[in-house]
Amino acid sequence: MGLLFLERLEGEGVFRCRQCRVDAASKDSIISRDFYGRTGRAYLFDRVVNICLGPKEDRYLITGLHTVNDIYCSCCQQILGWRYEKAYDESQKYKEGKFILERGRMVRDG
Amino acid sequence: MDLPESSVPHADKVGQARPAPRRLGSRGLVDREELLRVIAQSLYSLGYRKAAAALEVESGVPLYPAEHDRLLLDVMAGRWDACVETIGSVAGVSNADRAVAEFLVWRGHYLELLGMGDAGLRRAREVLRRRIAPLRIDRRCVHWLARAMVSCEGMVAPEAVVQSRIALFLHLVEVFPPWFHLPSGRLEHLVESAVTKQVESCIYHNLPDEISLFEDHKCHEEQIPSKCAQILYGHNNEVWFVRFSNNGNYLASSSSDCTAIIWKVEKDDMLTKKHCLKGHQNPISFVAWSPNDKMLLTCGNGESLKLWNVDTSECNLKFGGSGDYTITTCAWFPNSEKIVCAGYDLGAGSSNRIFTCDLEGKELEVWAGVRIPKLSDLAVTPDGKHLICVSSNEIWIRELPKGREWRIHEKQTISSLSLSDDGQSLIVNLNSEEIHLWKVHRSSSVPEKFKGHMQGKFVIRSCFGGSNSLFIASGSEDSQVYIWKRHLETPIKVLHGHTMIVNCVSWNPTRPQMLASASDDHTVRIWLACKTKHTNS
Repeated sequence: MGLLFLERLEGEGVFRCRQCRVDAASKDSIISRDFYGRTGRAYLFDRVVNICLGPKEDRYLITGLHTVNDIYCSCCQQILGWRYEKAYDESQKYKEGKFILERGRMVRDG
Repeated sequence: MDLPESSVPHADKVGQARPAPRRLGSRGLVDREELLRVIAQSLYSLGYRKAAAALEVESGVPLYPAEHDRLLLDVMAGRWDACVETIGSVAGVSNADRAVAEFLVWRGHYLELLGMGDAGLRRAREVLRRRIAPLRIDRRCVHWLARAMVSCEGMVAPEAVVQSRIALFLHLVEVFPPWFHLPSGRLEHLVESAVTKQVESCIYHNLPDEISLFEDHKCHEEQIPSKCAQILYGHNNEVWFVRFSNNGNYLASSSSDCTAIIWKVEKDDMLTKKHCLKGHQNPISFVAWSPNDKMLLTCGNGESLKLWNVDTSECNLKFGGSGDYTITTCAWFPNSEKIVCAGYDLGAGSSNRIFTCDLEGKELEVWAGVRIPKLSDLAVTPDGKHLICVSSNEIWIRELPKGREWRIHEKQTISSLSLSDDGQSLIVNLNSEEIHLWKVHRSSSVPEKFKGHMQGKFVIRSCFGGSNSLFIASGSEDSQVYIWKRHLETPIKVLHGHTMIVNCVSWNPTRPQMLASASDDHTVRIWLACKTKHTNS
C-alpha cells in the first residue's frame, strides 16, 4: 500500500489505536460515554480520523435495528468499532453519521 | 453559391440585375457596409492605398462618411464656424455629445488665440464669453480656461498649431459614435478575438502551435500524454514520489525501498537511469529539486533530511534541525540557498515547528509554539514572496519575510498541495475525492473543483502541467492516472496501465508532451503524447 495519509489530532485527550498508536479521535468529539460494544464500554464520537469503513449491514443492537458499517484502523486494520449509517427508530436518529469506538481497543493520551 | 469574382468589372450589369445583399454571413449577422469599411481600413493600414481606394470606388461604400472628411479639412484649416456646422449636421449624435464636441473645437481656437499673444487676447475673451460659456459644459473647465488667459497655461504657440489641430481632431472623433471614425485595427482585433475564443474552447490544446486562419482550431485528443511510452523498473518496492527537475532534463523518483533514483531524459524522450541514492534507513516520502537543479533534498519518513549533489550523487549533508525533530515536508527558496522545513517533536509535548535553514543546516528563522499546526505539506512561490502551508483543514498563506497572512478553510481533510509554475494557483487533494484549485491571491471564495478519481486512505498527489499549466493530472487509488482541463470538472483523459495505486504524478515543465506517474506496483511509467508537432508518429 502507498504512503498512508495519517491525520494527527491536536490537543489533550487524544484516543489512539491500541495496536499501532495512530490517532483516532479527540476527547472533545465525545457525544456520549454510555454505550456498549463487543468488548465492553464504548463511546459515541462525532469525528474520527484514520479509519476505513467496511460494508453496510443491518444489525440488531440493544437499542433496536440499525444499519451500520464496521470501522477499521487504516494503519493496522484492527476493528475499532462501527459507524451508524441509518437508524430505524425516531429516538435513535441522532446517532446517524456518528462513530462508536470501543474503549478496549483504544489507549488514551493525556 | 459564391463564385470567385472575375477581375473584369461588370459591376453595373450586376448592380442592375440584383441589388447586393444587405447582410452577409451564414447567420446574417454581418452588415455589408460595415464589413467593407473595416476591410478598407485594414488595407489602408497595411499600406495598400491604391487597393483601398479602388475598393471604396467599386463598392460604393466610402471608408469615412462625407462629414468626417469635411470636418478634418475644416479643423486643419481653422474654419471653426464650419466645424461647428458640420458637427451639428452629423446624424445620430446626442445633444450632450454635440455640446462636448463644440466645446473642444472652441477650446482649440481659444488656446490658439492665446498663443498669438496680446493680439489675440481680445478675440479670445469674445470666444470664451460668446461661444464656450453658453454651451453649459462643466463650469470648472470654463474657469480653467479663464485662468489660462493670465497664466498662459495650455496655450498653443503658433509653431505648434498644426500638431495641436491634429490632436484636436483625434480628440473630436472620440466623442462621436464608432461608425463615424472606425477604431484603428478593427479587423485585426475581430480576427484575434475569434482565434482566442477557439483556443480557449479547445480542450486538448497542449502544444503551442501556430494558429492558422484557414481552419477552426481544434487540437486532437492525442496531443496530451496518452500512450505509455516507457516503464521504468528500478525500485524494489512501492514508488511513492516522482518529480521532474525544473529544467525538465531529469526525473527523481523515491520509494519505500529507502532509495531515490535520478533518471536522465534523453533527446528522444526516453529515460535512462543515472544515479541511485542510497543512505536512508526509512522509506523516502518526499523529494525536492533545488531551483537550479543542482541539488536534491530527500525526506525520509520520520527521519532527517538529506541533501544530495545531482551530478556526483554524493550526500552532502544530513540534517534534522536542532533537537529530536521529525521533518515531514520541506521546500526550496528560489535562490537555491535556503530551505524551509516543517516538523514536529517526537517526544512528549508534541509541539510543531516551521523553520528555515541554510545549506549548512544552520537554522535561520523558527516559528514554533501553540499556534503552529501540524503541517502535511509546504510550498514556496517561485518569486519567494509567499509561504504556503497546509494543515489538516486549512491552507495558510503568509507573506515573507513578514507581512499579511490569510487562511483558506476546507470542509474536508487536505492530504497534499501542489503549486503552479507561475505561483498564482495552487491545488489541494482532499480525502473526499476532490481536487480544489485556489488562486494564491484569494480572489474568490469558491474553488474550482475536479472530480472523478479515487482517494480515501492514502496520500495521492496531483500536479499542474501542459503548456501554460492548462491541465491538472492526479494519481488515484484505482491505479489510473486522471487528467483534467482547467475549468472542466470531469476528466478529459484517464490513463490505464498501472496495476496498483498511483501515488504521484509529475508533468515535465519543458516538454509538455511528457507525464510521469509513480505507483505501488514498483514502477514509474512515462506517458507521451502521440501526435507532436516535431516528431512524426
